[in-house]
Amino acid sequence: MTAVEDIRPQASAVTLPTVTEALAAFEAGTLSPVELTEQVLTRIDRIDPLLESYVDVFSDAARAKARIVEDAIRRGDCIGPLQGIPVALKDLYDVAGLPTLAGSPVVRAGHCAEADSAVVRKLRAAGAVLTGKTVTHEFAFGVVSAPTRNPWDRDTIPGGSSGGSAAAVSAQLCLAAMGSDTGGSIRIPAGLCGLVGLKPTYGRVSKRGVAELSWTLDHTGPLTRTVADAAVLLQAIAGYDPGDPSSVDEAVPDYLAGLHAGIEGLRVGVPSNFFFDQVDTEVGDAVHAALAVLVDAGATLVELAVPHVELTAEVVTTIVGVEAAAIHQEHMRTSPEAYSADTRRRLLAGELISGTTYVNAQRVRRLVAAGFRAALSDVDVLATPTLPVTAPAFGADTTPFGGAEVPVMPVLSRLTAPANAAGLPALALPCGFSGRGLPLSLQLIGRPFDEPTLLAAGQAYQRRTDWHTRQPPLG
Amino acid sequence: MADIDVERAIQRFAAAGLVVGEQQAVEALSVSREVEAAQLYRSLAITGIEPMISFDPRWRR
Repeated sequence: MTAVEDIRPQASAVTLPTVTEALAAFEAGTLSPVELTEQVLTRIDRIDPLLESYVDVFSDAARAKARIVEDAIRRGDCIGPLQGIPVALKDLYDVAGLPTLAGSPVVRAGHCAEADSAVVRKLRAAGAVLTGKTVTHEFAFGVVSAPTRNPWDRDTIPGGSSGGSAAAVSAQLCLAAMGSDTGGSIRIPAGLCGLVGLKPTYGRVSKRGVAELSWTLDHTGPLTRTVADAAVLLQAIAGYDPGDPSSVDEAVPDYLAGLHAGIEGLRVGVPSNFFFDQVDTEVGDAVHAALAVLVDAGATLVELAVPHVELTAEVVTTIVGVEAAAIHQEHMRTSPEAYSADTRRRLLAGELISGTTYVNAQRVRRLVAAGFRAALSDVDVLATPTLPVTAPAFGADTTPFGGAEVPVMPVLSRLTAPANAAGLPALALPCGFSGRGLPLSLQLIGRPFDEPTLLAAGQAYQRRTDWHTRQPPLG
Repeated sequence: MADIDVERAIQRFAAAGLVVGEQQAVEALSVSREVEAAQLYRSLAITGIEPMISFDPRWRR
């Protein structure tokens, strides 16, 4: 028996609470932050060799923080809304005194963050126990996140670029994790790993101290097992940050207040164009079944078109290409060999895009945003598949799509990138499994800063389904 | 594909301070979508639309 086989039965023996369950258990005195942190660290030791989701585990710091929180709770104090909750960070988030490798140990060799990123600062203030840094695709410029494996089938990818965060939450190697999303990098891995992934409105959560890929498309947000957990995380990290030029000074609502209010009368737009074209039959069936659940919960479905959405892929490719090339230009001058061949090729291709083409992409982007505004003028949310396919094979450059073999990235980002172009909040949540046992995902897209409606809809769905309670077969 | 030849691409890289050989330039040109993107944007009715460079997600409610 190999070492890996030896740990499998133990690996699936423990089920950890969700964020909201853990907070309730702390309050009831049936679980302590130290106990929970030890359980998480033990699982990381036993299971992460199978998945390789972490690049660095903060064992000592996590234990120390858990003890501080536990002492505070014993004194009757409350440190914050995430007190004692183990949270992992995609390795794009700066943590003071530690390297942010961004999936590129060579290019980022010697890096040491001088300060915490704004989100890390908020997580610490909320009492979170930071468990470590998770794998990202190189500079978040891709959807594979090697070497991390998908916990549902280790012969498939977890998606990306926040693939390490998704694998870690799915395998319960933390209770929640932070990701970033330029064309779907929170929702794609959430969808492939059976999780909830929330890309908030552009400007809702600070990006200060998070390694950039594209200034005008990057977003930060959480990956969790439940919608309620996503609401708790968003409450802790949302807010205006004058230190982030893209941050928006918009009041932060109470995301938990209306979470259980139900969705009686909610108008759900179902796109008749683009979003359901060429999706796998299993995906389409699962999403339509999810729509029926929303109707049972009191929602009304409205078929509608989303004008111009088909322009998204070209627009996002142009914008990310140019902005990423600009961000990496200095490093590409001095150490181009430090990049992988694929990333280097795409950064150089970005250099060849003309100024007028970039500006025109930002003009066409307004058409995409206007299309969403028109579509959302008569409905509260849009419901679509998150992904057209299930998790592609590990190591494959292409995946079957529309009767052909197509490169993985444009397929996986096809249905998520539109919300990046429009800056709209979007929530991915599990809505079933394929015949091979791979997760399927529903995407809800809302109006600017209307995360409360997205979360209420997602919560209403999860109250009536149990997909989010399923656990990956790590045995 | 970009609408320029390898030599001009190398010159453009050099102007940005990037030392790029012929093989790498060919590879970059092979994945460039400059021509397709420019043609698509030219075909759209975007006269009068300002770019979204200073991006604000609010809809002026």
